[in-house]
Amino acid sequence: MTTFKLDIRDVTKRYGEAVALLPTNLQVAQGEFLTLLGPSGSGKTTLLMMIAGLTETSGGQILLDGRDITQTPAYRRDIGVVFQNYSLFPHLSVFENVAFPLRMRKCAEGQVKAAVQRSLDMVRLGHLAQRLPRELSGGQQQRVAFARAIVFDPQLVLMDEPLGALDKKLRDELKLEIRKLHGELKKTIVYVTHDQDEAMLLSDRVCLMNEARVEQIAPPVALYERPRTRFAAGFVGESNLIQGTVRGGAIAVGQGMLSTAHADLLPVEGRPVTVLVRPERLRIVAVPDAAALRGRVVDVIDLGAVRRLTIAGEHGDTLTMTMLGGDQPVSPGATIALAVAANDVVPLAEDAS
Amino acid sequence: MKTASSRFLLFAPAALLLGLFFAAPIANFLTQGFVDGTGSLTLEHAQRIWEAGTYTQVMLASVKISLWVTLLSVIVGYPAAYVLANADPKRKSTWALLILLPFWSSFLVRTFAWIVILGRQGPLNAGLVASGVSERPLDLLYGWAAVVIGMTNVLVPFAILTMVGVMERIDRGLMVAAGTLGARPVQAFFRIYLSLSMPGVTAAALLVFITALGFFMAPALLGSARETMITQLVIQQVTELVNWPFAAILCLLLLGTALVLFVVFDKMVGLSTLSGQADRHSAGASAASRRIVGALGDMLAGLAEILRLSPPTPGRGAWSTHWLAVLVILFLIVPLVLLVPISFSGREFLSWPPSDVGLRWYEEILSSPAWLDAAWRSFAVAFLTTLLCLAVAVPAAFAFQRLKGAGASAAFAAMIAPLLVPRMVIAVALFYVYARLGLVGTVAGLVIGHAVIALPYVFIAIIAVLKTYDRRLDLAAASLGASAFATARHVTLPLIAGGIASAALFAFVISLDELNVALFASGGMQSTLPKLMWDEATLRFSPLLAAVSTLVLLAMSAVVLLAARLRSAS
Repeated sequence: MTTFKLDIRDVTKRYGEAVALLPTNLQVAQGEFLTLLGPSGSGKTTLLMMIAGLTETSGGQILLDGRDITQTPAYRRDIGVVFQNYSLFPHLSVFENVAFPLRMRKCAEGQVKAAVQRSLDMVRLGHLAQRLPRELSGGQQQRVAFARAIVFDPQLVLMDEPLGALDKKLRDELKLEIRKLHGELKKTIVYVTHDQDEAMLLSDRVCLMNEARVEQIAPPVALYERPRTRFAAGFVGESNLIQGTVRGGAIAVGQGMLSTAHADLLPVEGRPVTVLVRPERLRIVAVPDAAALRGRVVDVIDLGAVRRLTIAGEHGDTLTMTMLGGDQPVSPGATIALAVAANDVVPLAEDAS
Repeated sequence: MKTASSRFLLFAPAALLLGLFFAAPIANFLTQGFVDGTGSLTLEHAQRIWEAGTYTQVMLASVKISLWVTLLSVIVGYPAAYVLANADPKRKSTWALLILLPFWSSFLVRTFAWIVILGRQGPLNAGLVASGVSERPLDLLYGWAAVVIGMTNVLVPFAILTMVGVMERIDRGLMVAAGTLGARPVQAFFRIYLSLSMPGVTAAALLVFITALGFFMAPALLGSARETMITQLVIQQVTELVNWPFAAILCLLLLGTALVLFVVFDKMVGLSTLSGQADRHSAGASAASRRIVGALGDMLAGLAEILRLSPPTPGRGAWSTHWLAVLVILFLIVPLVLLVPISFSGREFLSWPPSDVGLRWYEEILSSPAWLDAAWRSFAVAFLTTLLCLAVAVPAAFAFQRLKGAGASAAFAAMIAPLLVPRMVIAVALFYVYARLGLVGTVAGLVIGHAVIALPYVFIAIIAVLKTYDRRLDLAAASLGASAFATARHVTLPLIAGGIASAALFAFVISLDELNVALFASGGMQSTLPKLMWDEATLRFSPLLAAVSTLVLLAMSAVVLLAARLRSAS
């Protein structure tokens, strides 16, 4: 059995009666970028804080490199943390901020200088070493926080919504930078966010959390393509949730039939089921026979690059469809037939709770 | 409201009050030190003071005592300030009240308490003898230690409240971050927290030092001739020797010391730290001092490592700090509480434990026209002082809010100037001009003097309230059709009323406790309560004063509790 870099076993957190995190298991491999994604109150930050040693666990074990660190105080865990508000020390220069963990580890002065310079160069802030944090922009402060969290070569880096306080343009820029740095440093990173774009772009795997528990752990594309629950389907990407009944290994929806390549996920014959079809996987077909679904176009929003259609389905649900712009126009009121590949029809489990 | 002239109008009452009864009298009085009988300039008085020698000796002794008091106040106050600043909101109000109550209780009463505690017949000596530590009661009173302890006790709450203002703005996340970077809690404290709280510590030290330098009650009541302080000499020059030039030069020395310290402080830390306002100035210590403090923290961390002391678990906090804070609060409150049993003593002199318990002294007070008259006058003066302060401070605070940059700094400095001048200097200067205006011993004279002294506190409290007020609500009201007057009446005032009321109550308490102005300005049957208490105490300390003190404490606590309630309600 291989040892994981980080092994979380039945870790749980209660505040009196309130449960912040149900018993949770999670393994992170060496060098992996794992994102804890979920809405606020889903328990993701609680889990992160317990890994960092800043919140006590109510039960379970946390292993780092196979070593139980559940009772180890934060300052001995050797885990770098990037906080949402950066928590840079306002009275220390950028250099001294980054040098802080090395000084705590009593590194020789020469070693400190070299390591800090290397770390700051990595985030392209070497020239600002003597500034005070308040003299930097938000994006620069964020990069200093990152440099400080990696300068002591920690076993693990935790990032708690590090881009939360920045505007969108800067966020997009820094996302790419974090991705690049992860590639260069090969550090194991656990990253918390509620932004699905960040999770999709950065992660090797995404751990989707909801209501104090793990909803699904999967690589980003798999999470998009094969969400297991309604929550997962709804939280990541846009979705059409279509109600139907299982009939002969396919799904009866109103007058139409949807076939699925994932028949193993269907409940037994005759039971109701919800399937997911992503808006961009719907196609308009000219030959009505082959069509599975029919509907009337209610609204057309042309965004240039893409066109979004709202369709009142004959089976009763409203569907959203995304298609590339520029094709022949579709006008509201038209009745259309829609097809979808069997592989893109994903049966969902009812929510686990 | 938007033109410069209307803004000037809002500042006019404050300018009038501070100009006529603060700046002008002080300037007028201080020049007496350098004018001879014919009105021409001279350095003769200054030279004579220098040659006499005693004055410089007293000045040095005053500075020495003040330095000790400053050091002790900051050290004693720090843990309590730390706990208060970091307490969760529910406990915080309790901690705050426990520190505010002694803060607002009478200076005089708290000094009295130490006469009781340290006296030959006091509880401390009784305890020492009973436990066998000492065979005979010790002479704890009338010495250097008694003066320093008494003054520290009075000034610790000042230090605490000044430090709390700065500590509350320290991001608690920083300590957490330091932990994840490998700092033990004690290292994080020394390297991060202590450095960041230094502006507060410096501000507290400054305020305590300057206030201590102007003290006369504690040295007069608790000390011997050797602990005579400069303010006592000022009083002597004015009341006994009627030597105005000498009084002026001594006051100038006092004022000069204070102002030099303030200027140095403003350059290094920023004056606004005093009111817990902005902190634009660089936060604190030089790299060298940081390194020393940091090394100290590392050493302690190493020690903890060797002793295998377990660090506090996350979220629990250090209980030892809490116990330190509890000790500090006991130090503040126990002296006050001890006065209560003494007041029920039936004996003629102080004794511990109190015997012949009864209401003898209360009956005596309530049947004495002198005490009742003084009490009535004090309350009337306090009430009028409050009204005057509000009339002056509220418009000024509204105008101040719209100022920016250098204008704001200048206005702020002018409004809090009475806080920077030792009260005794204000009192003597007012006495000097009152004599010619016929205001000596009048209620009007007292009210004006008290208002000058209380104004900075009221002003600071009101701008703090206005700062939390969302001005967009005014704009919203205007957009909904409310006139400026209707906006003020229906939106602004109801929302800030609680804060203003609590500021008003503080003016009331300050006036009720003010002795400096009354010391000269009221005489004979024109006494205020603190003046009468002071006169009585300088003759002898009887249980009667404990009874008066108990009543004063009750009245002041009621006012302070009311203020706390109003503030939390707004």
